[in-house]
Amino acid sequence: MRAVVRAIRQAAAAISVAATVVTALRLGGRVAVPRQSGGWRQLNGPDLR
Amino acid sequence: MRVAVLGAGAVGARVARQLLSADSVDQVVLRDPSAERLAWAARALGDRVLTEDHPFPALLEADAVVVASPRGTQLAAAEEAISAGRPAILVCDGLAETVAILKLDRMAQDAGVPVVVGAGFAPGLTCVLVAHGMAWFDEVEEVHVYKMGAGGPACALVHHRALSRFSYDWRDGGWMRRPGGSGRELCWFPEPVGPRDCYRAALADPVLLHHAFPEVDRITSRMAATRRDRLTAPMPMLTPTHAEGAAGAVRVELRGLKGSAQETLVLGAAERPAVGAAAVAATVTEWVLDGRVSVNGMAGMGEMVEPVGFLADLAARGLVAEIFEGDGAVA
Repeated sequence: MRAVVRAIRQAAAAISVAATVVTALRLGGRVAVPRQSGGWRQLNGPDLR
Repeated sequence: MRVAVLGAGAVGARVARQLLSADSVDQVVLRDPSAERLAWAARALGDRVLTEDHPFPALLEADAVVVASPRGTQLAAAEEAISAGRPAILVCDGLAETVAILKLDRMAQDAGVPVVVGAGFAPGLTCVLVAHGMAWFDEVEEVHVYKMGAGGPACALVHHRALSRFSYDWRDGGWMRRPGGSGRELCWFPEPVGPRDCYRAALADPVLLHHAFPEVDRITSRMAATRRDRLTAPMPMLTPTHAEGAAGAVRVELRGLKGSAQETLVLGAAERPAVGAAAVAATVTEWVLDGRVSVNGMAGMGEMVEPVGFLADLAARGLVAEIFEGDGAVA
């Protein structure tokens, strides 16, 4: 019985450590989106020569 | 002039409509195994359409043949058209079938008739955009093609299967085989499609582009897909295919040298894929009938048409090419 409880505790500890690491990585990896410039425009006269 | 259109699906029926509405042909012979589809097309297109359902008459009397039938039927149709000495326009998009059709090159040359392979949205418009972009550079080193969306049910099936097959990219003198669904890239397509994740897939564009531009070191293709598309690609289609695809787009990216500077050019177009494919197929059919194509034999759109004039004709049909202007774009 004690072995089972210990295994459950270890599993819970492992899951919480993993969740902490993942949360830290996700928050740490978030960067501001760089300013976008340009865009699509239709090809017209000078482009079709 | 009389044109035979094989297949009365989302693309074939539109090709017939566009040819008739532009008065570029006198009559269209529309062949399809479905009597129901033919009846609908005959009602919609008027009395200049002659419909033929199964069993088809042995002789195909026409000045050109547009093959817009489903995957698996196009090779035989191409052989039949070439044997009869008729110019053929093939709206094929499956990789294996395109490769098999290209093996009929000698037969087409001997017959002395133009055979346009991949005359749709992608491949088709993509090859014309690449041919147009080539002129902006002194030397092109890389060509990357991206597509989003599918036309009718037959096209949707090819699209579905492409993600579970191997893709073939041309790289430094050889073909690289890579699993479909790998190599995610986030690409910005013209509006209204916008940004989409794209993956490798069994697409025919690199084969046709390498045929047209063997000097380019690297040619790749990818298609837009969702997580569900990738997960279900190896399975049969779980839901019935839609009759008509939603908004789609194509995008080509060329990298190379202009003078001594390394430059990138991005061209694209947005349209429902079946509508775009029909516009390309109808326009190239008119070019074939007018004798304006460059090759009397088998070739893709990148070799077959002069891109500037072709893009102008497509724009007149409402399919307008676009350019992405931003950091690194060719001035």
